Amino acid sequence: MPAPDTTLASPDMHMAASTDDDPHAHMMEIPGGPQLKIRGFFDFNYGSGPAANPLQFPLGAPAHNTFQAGEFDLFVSSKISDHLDFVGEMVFGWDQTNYLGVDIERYQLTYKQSEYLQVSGGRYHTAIGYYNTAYHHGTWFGTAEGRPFMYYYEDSGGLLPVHNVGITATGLVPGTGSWHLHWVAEGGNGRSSSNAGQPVQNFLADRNHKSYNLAFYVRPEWAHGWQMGGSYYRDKLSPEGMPRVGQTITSAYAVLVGSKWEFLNEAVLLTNKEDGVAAPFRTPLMYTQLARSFGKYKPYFRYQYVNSPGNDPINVYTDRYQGPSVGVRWDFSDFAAFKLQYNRLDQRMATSNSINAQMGFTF
Amino acid sequence: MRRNCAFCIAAVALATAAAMFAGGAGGDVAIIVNKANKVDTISAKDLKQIFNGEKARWPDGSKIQTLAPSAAMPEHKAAVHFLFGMSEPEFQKYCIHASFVGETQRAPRDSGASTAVVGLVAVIPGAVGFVRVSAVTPTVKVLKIDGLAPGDAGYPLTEQ
Repeated sequence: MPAPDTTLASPDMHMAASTDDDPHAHMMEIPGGPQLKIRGFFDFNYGSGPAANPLQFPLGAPAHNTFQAGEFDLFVSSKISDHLDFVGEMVFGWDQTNYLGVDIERYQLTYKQSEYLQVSGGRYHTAIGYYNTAYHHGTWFGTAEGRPFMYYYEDSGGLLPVHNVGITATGLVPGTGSWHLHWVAEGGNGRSSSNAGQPVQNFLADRNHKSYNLAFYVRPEWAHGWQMGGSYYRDKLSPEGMPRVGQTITSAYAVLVGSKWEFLNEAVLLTNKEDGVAAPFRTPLMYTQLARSFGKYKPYFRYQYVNSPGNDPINVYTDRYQGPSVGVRWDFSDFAAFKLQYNRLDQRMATSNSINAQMGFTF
Repeated sequence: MRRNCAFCIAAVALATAAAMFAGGAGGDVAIIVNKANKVDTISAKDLKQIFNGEKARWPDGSKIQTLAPSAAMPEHKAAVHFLFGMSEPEFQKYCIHASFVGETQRAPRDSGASTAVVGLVAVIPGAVGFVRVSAVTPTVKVLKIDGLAPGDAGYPLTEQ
């Protein structure tokens, strides 16, 4: 007979008196209600060259050597009950206008029934590929200086719906043994049909149709550190004055994240197809990243490729983005890292070079 | 008076040495479970998978809850190296990331002092934790690792 759920609430919680004949003797109370935990992340940057800015769109904006404040990210979490958790991420960031903007990038109330089922409601990072749900907004976590271009945020010109508002569920598939097969199912508002306003539909959807996403991944016991998976995302956008556009996003990835080696490989195919038009617009997006730790130093290499058709009806960015980045990460403190990165970017009409320096830390 | 001072200094030195011997460097680290747990011995591989969140249930189907003393406790460094193959800074980052992505089962819950870990394991049926052997009390059961108990030659989980 399975033991009663005994999930802990907090290390300093009060333990009820224990008696042999009390079946609930192990249960614990949280004095004063749920506790809020908070953690911060911040990055401060210097960029030189037209492709230096990791989160600025359009990429063709006038280039100036510049110091740059990154994302001031406050991550909060709270255990509400044995089965109920809340997490949130508030990000303060500046854009090309130099004005400060505030976004609640993530808020999820999660019911954890068991390792086989947990359901969240709120604003989440869509389970497309690996990077998007593995790193969120904490720049300090990422080995390289910024996200791969294919995972740029929507309001920075990103092509994928990396945020969504709705329901997401995940769990381990029973009986999958040493493969540890996990499933993910999501349904949400999807991205806005218009590129003019806020791309994430936080409050009011512009259509009745809901996006859905199905994903799976394995973490085999016999390949410690490896994770492999894929996803299928589907939505139907309704741009004003245009035919409806069916959006399909398929992804596949294989990543190794170990204490020494890191090897990330992801590929996504984004397809936008207008109703009544035979030919769909296909955008391949991919990157590979290899890194190895040598004590506090971690040199890395990333190559990425995105090719968005010039006449795509939905994509904000319609060009080719292709090239290598080489850098080194120096963890000069347990909770702070300095990164120096060189980028070479090939677009259809131009080639550019840039250098980034970044100080990222958690507090 | 001078003789009394010398005596006090010697007594303090002896007490310090005794404390170091009992709970300081070089001791074995025990894996402890609730006394109701039917498991007596466990493989090192299974143990690592449990603490990494890859195994979530005991053989009888009950849910596993992993606990750890705080990083300030002397046994923490050895156990983290053995169970996760990580240094302390790597483990801290690993735990922060697990919380960040909502995979808290991948890291043991920080339970404070070694005595607190023992106290929690004693009252939670599915709990498993690690503590210095000197902190173990009769309220919990010590698991063998690959058939070896703390103190046995070749026991794999020691502070040095």
